[in-house]
Amino acid sequence: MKASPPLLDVRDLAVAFDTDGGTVHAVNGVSYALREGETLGIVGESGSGKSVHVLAMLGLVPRPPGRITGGQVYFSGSDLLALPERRLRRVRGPEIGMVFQDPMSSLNPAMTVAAQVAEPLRLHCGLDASSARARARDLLDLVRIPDAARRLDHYPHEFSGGQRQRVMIAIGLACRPKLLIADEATTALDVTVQAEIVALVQELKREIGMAIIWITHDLGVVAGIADTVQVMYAGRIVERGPVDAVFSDPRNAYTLGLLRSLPDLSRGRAGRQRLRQIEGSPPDMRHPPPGDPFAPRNPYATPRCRAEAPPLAQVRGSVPGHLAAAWYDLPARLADGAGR
Amino acid sequence: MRPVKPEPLLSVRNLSKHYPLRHWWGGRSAVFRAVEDVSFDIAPGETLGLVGESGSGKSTIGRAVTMLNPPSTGTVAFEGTDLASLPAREMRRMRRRIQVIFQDPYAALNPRMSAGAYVAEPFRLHRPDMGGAESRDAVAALFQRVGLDPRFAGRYPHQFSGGQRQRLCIARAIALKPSFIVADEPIAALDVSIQAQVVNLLQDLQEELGLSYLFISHDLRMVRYLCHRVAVLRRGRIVELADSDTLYEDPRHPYTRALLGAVPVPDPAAERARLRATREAPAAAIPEAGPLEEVGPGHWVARAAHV
Repeated sequence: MKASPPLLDVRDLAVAFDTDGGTVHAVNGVSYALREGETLGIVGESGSGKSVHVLAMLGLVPRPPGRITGGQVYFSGSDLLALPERRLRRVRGPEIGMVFQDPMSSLNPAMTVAAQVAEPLRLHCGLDASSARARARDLLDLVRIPDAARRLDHYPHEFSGGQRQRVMIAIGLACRPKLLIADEATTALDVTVQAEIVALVQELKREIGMAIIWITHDLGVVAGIADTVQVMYAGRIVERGPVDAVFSDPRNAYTLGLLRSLPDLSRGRAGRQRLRQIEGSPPDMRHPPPGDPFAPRNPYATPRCRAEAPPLAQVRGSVPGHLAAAWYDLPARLADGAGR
Repeated sequence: MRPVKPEPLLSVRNLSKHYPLRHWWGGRSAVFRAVEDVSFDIAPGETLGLVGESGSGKSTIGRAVTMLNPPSTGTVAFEGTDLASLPAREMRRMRRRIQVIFQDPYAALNPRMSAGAYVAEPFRLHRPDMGGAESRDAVAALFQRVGLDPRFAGRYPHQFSGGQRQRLCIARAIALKPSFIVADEPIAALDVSIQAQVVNLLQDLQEELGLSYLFISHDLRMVRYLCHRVAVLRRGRIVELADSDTLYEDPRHPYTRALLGAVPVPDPAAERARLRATREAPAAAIPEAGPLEEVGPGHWVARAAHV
């Protein structure tokens, strides 16, 4: 099978912010590729660079204080980082749809939903006002907003939180993008509403076939929808690979720590153990620790981890494409009983 | 019939919180029933979980039982004393025993007060007899107890991480040796790698100090882990209340089932199967909650209301 060129090819992306307290190295050499139709789940905590690297590739990091200090991001063949803003605007929306965490602050409270869903259609797809409105109604239908024709003329505050996020998805999908980026799109929503949104995105993916980058801190959501999972820490990818391989056989200690710190929903109170917490705090990215940034919190760290940052490399003995950044051999360390 | 256990620390009966709704040009007034006829007990050393979606009234109950926002009707008895009828002076004394931890530790902290002064504030307010040295020692011990370096007492809130800030709030909450703490979404704003630390700390403190918690959370996974009993709230009413194993293994109310069925599982094969099953099964209709009925020992389920 000859591999077709990837839809998105991120190469050595680095982003820094100049603050009063010093330079924050938010993204430090992130490289990965995304196939057409692939769903990539990116997991990490605040400060991991998971959101910032996406904003940077879309030209949405404010400069100053932000600076892209290196790298290329090829999307359908052209380097997004080299495109002028005018050209980038024709990529954001029509080719790459975006859905963010808080729909209330992303939607304009003074514009009807119809106007906001129709805007990208008129600007980017060249539709006139009446066909844009008809298409906006179809889109609200698509995202399962009941009584779409009537609700077109409602304002955002007249929708529930889950419905507003559906509207955002409708806007994100308006021009049938090849890639949809959802950044903590369900984090602010209740668990049953989150389930509805996840199911909706899954259905739309089957209908439209777009690729998805789903950024979240919820390992459960990623487990269900992602083909590939990518774990980020301190502005780097620390592990990535097919979702089944990474969840069943994690090779980076941070990935393992995240998976182990979750209590088991099916386990009763009898015989339960203390939660296996990850010690310490995420690093201050103004003064990242030398070497592997997770080393100070890692019970499996070796002296080399504290001196030298490990490269992201193919895991020996796992499936192709399962990559981890670790100097230590995690399964061997676990078998030795290191770090409890 | 109401869920009752012998000698509770906190006993809440028929608690309601109503807000007047007035149309902006006057006219007919109505009430918004944020919480309606809620009753539960919390035993000494027990953790009761309160789960439900945003707007279900979880936080309103937390604020009502601590009298931060007193209930419209109903009683809140703490060790047999009805808090709502307590004179202000007496309530102030009672506050030593009842503490609250909030979701956003940064908002709870005063940015211009050092961490040490923040943790010492309860001593200044409630223990004027305490000398400076005694207070400093007590603060150092509290820092140590919650896993913070006492040398950080001179630092300011912005110099701490989110998890450390929540530890500061917990240190202050336990300063006066309370017996009851309302924890309102205490881990929701924290990074995943920090949540387990704070939950472990809350659990250690409970064992050491014999604390009771009202743990308000939308994290159903943590609730099962931490709570002895769980009450499920919907539209201001309890729809189901049981010990946590019973509730999670044998949920009876359709709303509890919907809620538990929506929790994603961090196991790819299991989670894909769960998504497939949800796609194929039609969602059950959820009736409005009426009075609670005991379906098993200590397991209470709301009957469908007769509309």
